[in-house]
Amino acid sequence: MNRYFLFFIFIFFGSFAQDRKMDATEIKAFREAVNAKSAAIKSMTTDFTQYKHMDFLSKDVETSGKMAFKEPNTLLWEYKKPYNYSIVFKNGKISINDEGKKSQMDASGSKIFAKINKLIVGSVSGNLFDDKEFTISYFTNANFNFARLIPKDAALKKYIKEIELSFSKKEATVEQVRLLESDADYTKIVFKNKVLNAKVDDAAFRN
Amino acid sequence: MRRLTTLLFAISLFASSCGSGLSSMKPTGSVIENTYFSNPETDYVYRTSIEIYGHDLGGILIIKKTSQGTHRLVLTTDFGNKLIDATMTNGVLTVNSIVEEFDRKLLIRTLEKDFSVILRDSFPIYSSDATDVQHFSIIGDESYEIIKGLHGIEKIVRSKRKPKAEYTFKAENDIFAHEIHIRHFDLKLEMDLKSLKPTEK
Repeated sequence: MNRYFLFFIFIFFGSFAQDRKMDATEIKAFREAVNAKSAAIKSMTTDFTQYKHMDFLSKDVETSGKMAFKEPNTLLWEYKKPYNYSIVFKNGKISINDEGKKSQMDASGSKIFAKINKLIVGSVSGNLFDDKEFTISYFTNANFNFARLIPKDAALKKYIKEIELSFSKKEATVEQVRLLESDADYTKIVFKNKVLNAKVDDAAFRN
Repeated sequence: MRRLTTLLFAISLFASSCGSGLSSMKPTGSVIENTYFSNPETDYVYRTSIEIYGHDLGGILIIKKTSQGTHRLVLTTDFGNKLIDATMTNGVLTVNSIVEEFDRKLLIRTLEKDFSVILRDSFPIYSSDATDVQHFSIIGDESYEIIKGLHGIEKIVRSKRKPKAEYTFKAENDIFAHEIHIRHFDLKLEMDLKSLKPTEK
């Protein structure tokens, strides 16, 4: 085979996968776009699919469900397949419905829960660009703009090595989140059918 | 007749464990095979509910046979964060990583004991009842009463002088248990494992 042809193929496909670091101007424009979009989000509903990847598995463990968020801090995260499990963060309280078995806990005194809540809401809305909490680097490729966040907090660092938020280039909203525990293990969450600022009834957050 | 055989079997077990002791019993040379976690191509994935001293915890347990005598075990939260990552080799549990809240000797020892039973590929038979359903096995200083069902092992009761824990399996074939229940008699600890369905390459 013509080696120029092979070279061309390599360059062509290589360019798709190539991640490029943003320069200072691009970072500023990207952050402004995401922050403006995020500030305008009063409510959100979306479907999600979660993939747990571990290097020793034949296939990622796949679960899916829906998420609803309402300002300022009310969140429903509900798994519907292959089992029913939902968790609601509301007024400093966490309520869990595990296949009909209900429990509640007070999260207002727990710093780590406050951080997790902020992390989930921030991951979905994109409002996570807090340089005090994370060391952030910004990239772009053919499909997404994305940010890699490395936690500074020692407690959070124990659970998450890095968070990767991928944003739609068109909308400046989060399309997928990757939570890396190590180089080989991560959880990827892909959002679909996102609806912004539609009326979300309070009943949606009853667990 | 079946009831009488079972009764005689129970009496013989009682007599052997109380009287001359486990050490005097001799293996028959036969084994009961446990093939529920035997396929290295299968990811065994279970939705897991743990009830420990009044606290409930849900998560996903993933088990994979990585080589002969070795299984990898990972328990994650529903969100995917790892709580425990461990390797079981011939009954010995090596913890690869564990969250601080779970890093308790008693808990790790209990998990080691429970999963050494569930993942063990065979049990030496010391005696069986006439119907070949109920069997008695000894490993180290512990005894195991094993009930065989239509598809492999249905129940194991682990005892050390008195019953310590009970392991119940529900299976549709002999290579996969879709439900496993672990109940402890001396600890307030129960685990319920329900398959998310096995995935193969």
